[in-house]
Amino acid sequence: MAIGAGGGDRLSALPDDLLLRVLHFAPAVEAASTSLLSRRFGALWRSTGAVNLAARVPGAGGRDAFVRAADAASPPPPPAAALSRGSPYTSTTTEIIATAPPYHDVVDAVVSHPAARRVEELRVAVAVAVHPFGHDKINTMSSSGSVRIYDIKLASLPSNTLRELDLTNCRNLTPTTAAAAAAAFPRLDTLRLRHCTANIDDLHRVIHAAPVLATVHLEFVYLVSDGHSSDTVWSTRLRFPAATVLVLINCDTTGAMEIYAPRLRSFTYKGDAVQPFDLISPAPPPPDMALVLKLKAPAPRHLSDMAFVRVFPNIEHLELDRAYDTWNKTAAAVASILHCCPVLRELKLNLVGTSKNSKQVQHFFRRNSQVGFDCLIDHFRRDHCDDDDGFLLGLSYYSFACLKNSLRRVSLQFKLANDNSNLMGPARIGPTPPRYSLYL
Amino acid sequence: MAAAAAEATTDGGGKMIILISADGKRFEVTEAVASQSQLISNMIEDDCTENGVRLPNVDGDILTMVVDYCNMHAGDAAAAGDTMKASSTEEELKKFDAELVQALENPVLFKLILAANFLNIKSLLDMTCQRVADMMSGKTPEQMRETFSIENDFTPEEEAAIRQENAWAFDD
Repeated sequence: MAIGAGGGDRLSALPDDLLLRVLHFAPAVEAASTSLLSRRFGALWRSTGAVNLAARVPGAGGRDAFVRAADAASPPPPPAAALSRGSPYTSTTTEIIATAPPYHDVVDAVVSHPAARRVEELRVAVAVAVHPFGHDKINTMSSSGSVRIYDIKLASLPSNTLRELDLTNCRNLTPTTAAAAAAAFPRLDTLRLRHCTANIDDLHRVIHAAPVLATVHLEFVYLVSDGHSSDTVWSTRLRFPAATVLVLINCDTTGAMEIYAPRLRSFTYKGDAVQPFDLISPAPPPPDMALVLKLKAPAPRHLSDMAFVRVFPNIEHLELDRAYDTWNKTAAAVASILHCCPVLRELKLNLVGTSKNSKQVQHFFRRNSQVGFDCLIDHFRRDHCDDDDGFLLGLSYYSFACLKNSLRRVSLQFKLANDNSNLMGPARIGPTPPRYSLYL
Repeated sequence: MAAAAAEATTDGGGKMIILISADGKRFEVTEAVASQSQLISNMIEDDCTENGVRLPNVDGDILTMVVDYCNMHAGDAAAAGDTMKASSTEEELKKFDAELVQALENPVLFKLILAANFLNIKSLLDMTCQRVADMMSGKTPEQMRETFSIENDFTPEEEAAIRQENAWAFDD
């Protein structure tokens, strides 16, 4: 029988799993109101595994209705009332998307509902109109008042079954005494925090309560330390005893960052090199250790403080983002990093410059890109011996013979930052930043 | 029913597969295109596509859409076969998807959901289910019943009880 041979009501003719898929995508209000359509729908929406508190279609009427309902929330909050009857979760994956402060107690109610105890993967994304981490940073840091990120209540999470926890725009990972007990998260293997504010001590309590936590992904996380007098705390110590994969993207700490991760196999760091940074890994790193470093922002003096490279003689891929106005002072540091990577195969330098040194870059553009690394350095040595300002020149004083055997690819990318240089006008260079890859 | 065995032909190295719809329409596609369907991909692995793949619960008009979609998205999967036409840009794909999904009306949309589910093409299934969810968005239960021709089989008492239970969703 061909598909679709049925009556007028074809939606009801879909099997349960497909109806659930549809309801999974529907906003919570509409999903819940399908319970009123017919017996066929009944309590089906409770099993979708998703509580989309935000309407996905902007300006939809349902969203307004829900905002009103949430604003007018007298305890218990609306979905709690709805959820407290029957069992809302039959799926083990739950995704909660909330858009505004009025939803916060709703999120609480959903997360802490006894029926959520079986959830294995939990994603809580609290969207905010103005991003707290960028423009509102000060507000975020002060722990009081009208901050619009969500205070997650760890104690209310289904800690025993949880394998994956994914939080966006949350803060205060304060475990209660119960959750702080050893192995309160016995199965948690993946922790992702995005745009969160976390107290380091709290974060460590969670990490210690999660003995199999293998993957830690922190993106735009502001790590706050307290309890120490500020002038003695120079470094933020982060300990990930079980982590094999660690990703730190644009995380912010006070002072330096010291990372202890003895079992690490993959490490990605992107962000400012403003603070010195030390990665401690007592065991020799495995030969297939993957390491990607993307460093931004001019803070040259700290580059030499970054001791991580010494611990990773096996780095095969290194990526550095720097403003090349400042490279002249750091060329030595970069050179020493390169010397510390005897098996480096791929080097990517993303350089951001201003008109001041555009002439140098212009020269570079004229060169055929199919040259060896030493050749390239030679060019700069020849062309710019009268110019003692510039990273590439700085590099040219060093020998990279040690890299000859391993280096397979060097990528150089130049960008002009807010520059109206007549030497490098768009007419000559083109609107897109030139990119060079040298295969050696 | 078309009974003739379909010859698997080759076209510049890319193996071709014949898909046969419920009403006997035949579609010739490359393996790369067809294997976006997990079902067919498994069949290719098991070497049982020699005589064409019969899809007894997918009508020809629906299969036309599915094949169009798969042709369009063949570049997605990093298959990058050399016979494949230049893979579509992301923008073109988005436009194609948006137009496809916007044009769908109820009966066809549900047939496409069932076909995507049967053939196991996740991206198409998600896209079509999202479309139905979007059609629900902003509607009252009454409006939804009308949109989807759903008959209310509750007694007034039952309906009142449900309204009370989920009052937060029905407050206007």
